[in-house]
Order: sequence, then C-alpha cells, then structure tokens
Amino acid sequence: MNKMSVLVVDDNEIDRYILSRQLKENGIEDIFEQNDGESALSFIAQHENNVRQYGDKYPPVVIFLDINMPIIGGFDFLEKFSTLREELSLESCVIMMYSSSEREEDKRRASKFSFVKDYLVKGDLTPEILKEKLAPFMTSES
Amino acid sequence: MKISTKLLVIVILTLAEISLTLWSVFEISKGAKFHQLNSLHLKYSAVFSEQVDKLNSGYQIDTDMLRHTIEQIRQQPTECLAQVNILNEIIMKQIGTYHALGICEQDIIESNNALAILDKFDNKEIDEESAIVELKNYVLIFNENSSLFEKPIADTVSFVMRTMIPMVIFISLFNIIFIGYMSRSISGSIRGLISLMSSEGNNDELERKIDQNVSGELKELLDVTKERLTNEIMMNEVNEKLEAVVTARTRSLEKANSELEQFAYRTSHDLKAPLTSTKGLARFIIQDIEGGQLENAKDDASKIVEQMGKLESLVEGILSLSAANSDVENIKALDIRKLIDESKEPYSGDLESMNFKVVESIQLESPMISEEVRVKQIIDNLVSNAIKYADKAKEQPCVNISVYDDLDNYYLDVEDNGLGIPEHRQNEVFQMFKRFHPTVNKGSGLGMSIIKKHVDSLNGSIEMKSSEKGTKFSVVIPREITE
Repeated sequence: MNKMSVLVVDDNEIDRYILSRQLKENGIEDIFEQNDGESALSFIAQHENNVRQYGDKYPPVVIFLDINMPIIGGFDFLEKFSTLREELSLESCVIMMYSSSEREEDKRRASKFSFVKDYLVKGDLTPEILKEKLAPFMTSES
Repeated sequence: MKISTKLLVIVILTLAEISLTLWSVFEISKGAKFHQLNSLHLKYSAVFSEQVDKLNSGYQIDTDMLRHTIEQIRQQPTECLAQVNILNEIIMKQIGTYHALGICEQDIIESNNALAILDKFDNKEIDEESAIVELKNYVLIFNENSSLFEKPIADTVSFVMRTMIPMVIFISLFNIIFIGYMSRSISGSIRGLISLMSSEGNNDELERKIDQNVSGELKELLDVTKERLTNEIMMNEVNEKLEAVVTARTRSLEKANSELEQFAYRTSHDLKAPLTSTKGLARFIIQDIEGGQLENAKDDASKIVEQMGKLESLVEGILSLSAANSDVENIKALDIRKLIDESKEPYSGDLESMNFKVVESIQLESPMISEEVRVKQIIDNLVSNAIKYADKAKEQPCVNISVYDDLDNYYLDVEDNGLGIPEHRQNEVFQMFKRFHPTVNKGSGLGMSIIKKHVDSLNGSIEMKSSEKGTKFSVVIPREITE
C-alpha cells in the first residue's frame, strides 16, 4: 500500500470527483482538494500548520493542476508556486497538469516549469494511464 | 511696375547707350577718313601740277599718264560721297557745312572736264598749247577744292565731337542713376517681402499686408508658393488621417481577432469540459453496475444530468452571444413588466426559499420601443445574476429593478444587495468566460458579455458599481435607433 498523498486543484467539482476516484483505484487515499489556484496557494502557504495537522501525509508528492480556473488559473499558479516552492523547500513536490485543453501551446507553456512533470488530458485519462504516470513517484516514496 | 518691365527698361537703356557711343565713334572716325582722303586729293593734285609744269618745259604731252593722275584725283570725292549717309547730310545742312558735298560733286565734274580736254587733244580737236593752258587751269581748281573742302569737314567733325561726347556722358550718367534706382527698387521690394514674411502676427493680417504691399511677379511667386504649400499640407493631413484610419482599423481587427481566438479557445474548452466529465462518470457507472454498486451508479448518473444541464446552458449562452452579434431584429413597443416577470420565472422556487424580495418600478412616459430580444436578454441576465449571487448572510436578499425614460433615453437600473464583485476584478466584468463566485454558481461566464454586446449594438451604455453591500447596474439606451 502506498502512503503517497496528492493535491487536486480544479474548479470543476465533477472533475475533482473523477480524478479522486481514479486515484483511489490506484490505492491513493490521501487526497487534498482545492477549487481554485488562489485557495490552493493559501493552503500551501500554511505549511507549518499543515505539517502539524496532517503529519507525514503533508506535503503532497504530486499536485494535479487544472489550467482554466476563475480566480487564479493554472499558469498563474505555476508562477506563484515556483517562488513558494523555494521558500518552503518543497523540492520533492511535483506538478502534473490536469486539463481538458489539448493545445500544444498550453503543453509547451507548462513544460517550461522544471517541476511540471506531466500533462494529463481530462477525458483521455484512465486509471491504467494514471498508474503508469504515478509509478516513478510511488517507488521513490516507498 | 513689374520686375520684368524694370529689367527690360534697363536693357533698352543700356543698348541705347552702347549704340549711341558706337555711332559717335564711327562718325568721328569717318571725319578722320575724310581728312585722309583730302590729303590724298592734295597729294595727287601736287603730282598733276608737277606733270603740267613739265609740259611747260617742253615735254611732250603724255595723255595716258595725265589721264591716270586725274582719275586718281577723282577717286577721293567719289569715295567721300559714297560714305555720306542721310543722317550726315541732315547734320551738315543744320550746321551749314553741306556745301562740302557740293565741292566733292564739283570736283568730280571738273575731273571729268579735265579728262574731256585730254580726249579732245587726242582727237586733235585742240592744239597742245591751248590744252596745256586748260590743264594749268585745272591744277588751280583741284588745289582750291582741296583747301575749300578742309574747313567744312573739320567743322563737322568738331561738331560731332562737341555734341556727341557730352550726350554720351549724359546718357551714361543717366543710365547709371536710373539703373541704380531700378535695382534698389527691385531689391527693396524683395527685402520688404522677406521682412513681411518673417514678421510676427496672424495669417489674415499678413495676407492683408501682402495684398497691400506686394504686386507683380513677387505676388505671383507668393500665390504659387502658397497654393503649393497648401496642397502639400492638405496632402499630408489627408495622409495622416488615412494612416490613422488604417492604424485604428488594424488595431480593431487585431482586437477582434484576438477576442475571437480567445472566444474559440474558451468555448471549445468549456464545451469540452462537461463532455469529458460525462465520459469519466459514464465509465464509473459501467464499473459500478458491473460491481453491483447501483446507488453509486445512480449518483454518478445524476451528476451526468447536471453536466448536461450545464452544457445546455452554455450552448444557449453561446447562441445568445451570436444573436447579440447579428442585427436582424424588429423594433417594436415592449411590455417591460412582462419581460421582468419572465426573467424571474425560472427562479420562482429560489425566490421563495430565500425569501428574496423583488421591487419593480416602471415609470415610462411612453412604451419602450426597441429590439425585444436584446432588451429581454439584458433584463434576464441582470435579474438572474442578482438572484443567483444573492448574499445569504444578509437578512433580506433583494433586487430593485427600475425602468424610466426621458426625452432622449431609456434607463434600466438593477440594484441588488448580493455578494458583489471583488474590487480588483471589476474591470473583468464584461469579458467573456469570467466567473467571480465559482463556488456559488456554475454559470457559463458569458452573461455579462452578452449584456454588453446587446447594449453596444443598441448604442447604449452600461455602468456598474459594486461592493460587498451589493451591485448596481445602470443601463442607458438612447431612444433614437441609429442604424
């Protein structure tokens, strides 16, 4: 059993539900959810509080990040997260984009951030693909 | 006087001066020539006298030699007469020296007579002695003619010198003064124009001064220059305006293009999102049915229904937007109260459960005349926003809808005490796909941009004031419908 934890940042409740269920099928039970880039950033900013509250479940190993969100979108989140990541020493924390956009431009833009490890397209994602994508992070964690 | 006329006068005066001078020189030299001819006449007369003297000493008469000498003597008066022109004759008549020409003619006649004596002698008509007497007589005549001829010629030459030289000097001085005056007048008018043109003062005053003080070629030059400059300035202005138009068009096209791009991107994204969600949910339902988890399957199926509802409202929104862009619409008198009632109807349940108060005030002097679909969608979206984003923390959620008019415009105010729009995002309100309270209501994010498009195509305006206390939208639609 993997004790890996993840954070899902998506404004769409159904998409969060679908991803969570697929994660759970892969044995991942510790799932934090945020409905916007803004709330996700303030959640991450309360680092010490989170560590105290969630123990070794925090920080999440993978953050699944939607692009289109109303207040702070995926790309703005990436900009802000890159500074936050250094401030809070979250180097172990990586991001997988989770979007319905298949635009090459969006993929290229996301890949410019070193900590963005993958780009998952909603609708194409199955539990099997997810397992494959998460494999490297699971072994490193075990 | 025109500059060209002045210059022409200068040229004529100079030409006159030069020709008068040349003529004087020529006449004076002619006088010298006459003196020279008279000297020759004297010389040949002396030769003739010598030859006649020799006859006295007993020499035979050599008629050929004598004839040759007499012909040489005759040559000078002939040349003199040939050189005299009408002007000379007039002058000589005036100063009383005209008889010099008579002397020439007389001399020629005497020469011919002397030759006739020789002819007679050759024909033996007269004897040698009487021929010699005759010839001696001609020696005297020729000498006398020479001495008589000298004085009138000297008088004539001295007259010419006495009159011509002062006249030439006078004309030259006159020319110098006159040309000096002319050039001063020309350069003066040019300088005057320069100082006029470089003076301060407005254009009208300058033009008046120019009309008063400038004429001739300088005025023409100014007129041509002015016309040319005016044309050039006009061309420049036209070009600048064209350039500005092109720039503005390009900018608006670029803006429209980027809006369209953004629209296509967001539309495809927002249309796709419920579909992909539905796909994922459908997979779960299959799994759950296979695993016998029918309650889960039912939950997911109702989520699919929710997604489909969302998709439906999005498609409707997009259709409304494209309707907002097109302008095929009848203008007619509208029943505003009915439109407001229709806008509340879908939310009747919510209104009741939230104890939501709707205050309506319609004060129209005359029925509103406009495009029904546009006005309906403006009202629908404003009213539904007020209801959807009601602030549950407030005791009495409410919306005030007021419609009124004046001579020029119709006014529609919709004021709620709802959640309001965060101050830092108020500039995004009329952009497409903007949602400000995603947790409260999952709208398409198109409502306000639909309103804006309709207001724009009705040549109206919309303003928003929003705070935590609520939001007020004020729409103004002009009565006159401009095509």
